[in-house]
Amino acid sequence: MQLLPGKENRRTPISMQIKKNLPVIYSYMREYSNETEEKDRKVIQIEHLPVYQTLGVLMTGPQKPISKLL
Amino acid sequence: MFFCLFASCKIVSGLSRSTICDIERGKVYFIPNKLAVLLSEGFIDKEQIPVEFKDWIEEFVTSELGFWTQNPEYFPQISLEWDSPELINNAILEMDFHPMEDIELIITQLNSLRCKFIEFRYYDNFDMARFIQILPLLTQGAIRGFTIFVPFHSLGDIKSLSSIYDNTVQLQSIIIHSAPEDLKGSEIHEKILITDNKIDSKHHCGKISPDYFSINIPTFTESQLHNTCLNRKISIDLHGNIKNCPSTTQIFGNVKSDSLTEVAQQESFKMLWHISKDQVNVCKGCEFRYVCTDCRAYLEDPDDIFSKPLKCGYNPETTKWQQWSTNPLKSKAIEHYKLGDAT
Repeated sequence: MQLLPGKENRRTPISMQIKKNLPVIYSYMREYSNETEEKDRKVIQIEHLPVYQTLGVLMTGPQKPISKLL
Repeated sequence: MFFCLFASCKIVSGLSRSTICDIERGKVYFIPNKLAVLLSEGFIDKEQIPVEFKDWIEEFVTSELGFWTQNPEYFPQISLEWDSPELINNAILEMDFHPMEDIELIITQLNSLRCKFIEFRYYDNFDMARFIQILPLLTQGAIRGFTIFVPFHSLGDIKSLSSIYDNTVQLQSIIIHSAPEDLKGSEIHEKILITDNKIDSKHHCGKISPDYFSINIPTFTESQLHNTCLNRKISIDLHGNIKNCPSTTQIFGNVKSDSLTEVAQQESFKMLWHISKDQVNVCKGCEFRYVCTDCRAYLEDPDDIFSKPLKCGYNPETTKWQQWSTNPLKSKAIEHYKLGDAT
């Protein structure tokens, strides 16, 4: 999913556990509320991410090696 | 004005240097210990940044490791708590000789434990027809992915493996080991890796290298209080014995007589799950300790369960990697484990 055209790797607090970190997202929005409109748009898009993405869960493959044979 | 590190950029202090682990983007940056201390709270007042570190901070902003803000209190640290819904996350099965009914039983039980990943190891005797028979069990239930290690000499035609990789989304990779050197690295299919490494026994496992680092949130948080290799892992060795890992010695039962579910719930089985890197000698001073996957099967001191992994060549004091197998201080342990040509 292309979240932000031209800037796939932008930094947001999305990969944290969403429930615990909702205050972070809201504060992020406050932080940028006085800045450019473009930044505001980016922040607001966070709310529309699917849950699995906000949780940082990879849908395929383990996130660490199961063994170290090679 | 304050400089604030992004919450997913975690500082890990080591003996001689520290790291910023960017667990969102999967990168590690080295920083001096003195700077790590200054940033230990995650932010620092601009006025208090020593001149010698001003360039570092600017570089952090450029590399998107942090940002300037008037309100650092709006950006709390992420929780480092870890938990997972599955009773067993991953399993290693040494496969060569198990009867079909045992394999079916094992996979059914792993599914009921909500096991997500399985590694099938064939050291010497891979039978494609038999493996195709168990594929339906792997494509339903909890299993998200599996990997197979197969010896080159037991494959007739490598392309015949297409009957596995063409129809199975859960297949992550087939590693063909012990292949002739000229076939090493051949590109047959994106899911097939060919190596000339001879993997004919469990003794080849446990290698610690940056190639195995896992720089991500699940591993970083799990590693705070758990063992990154053995936590929620179960293994079945060549004889059907149920263990933490094929290379560990303690046996908790046998698939012929014991249920995996019952074994997985035994407190003694879970003991190694809770040995974190912070408890392991040498590793506790290593700046990579929360992104490195541990090994408790082969230890520098086989009599000390908190000993450094034998197959790690990194020295956090000198910050240098060396070949572990030629280190004279490890020769006794190599002999103890009878590693032979697996070094």
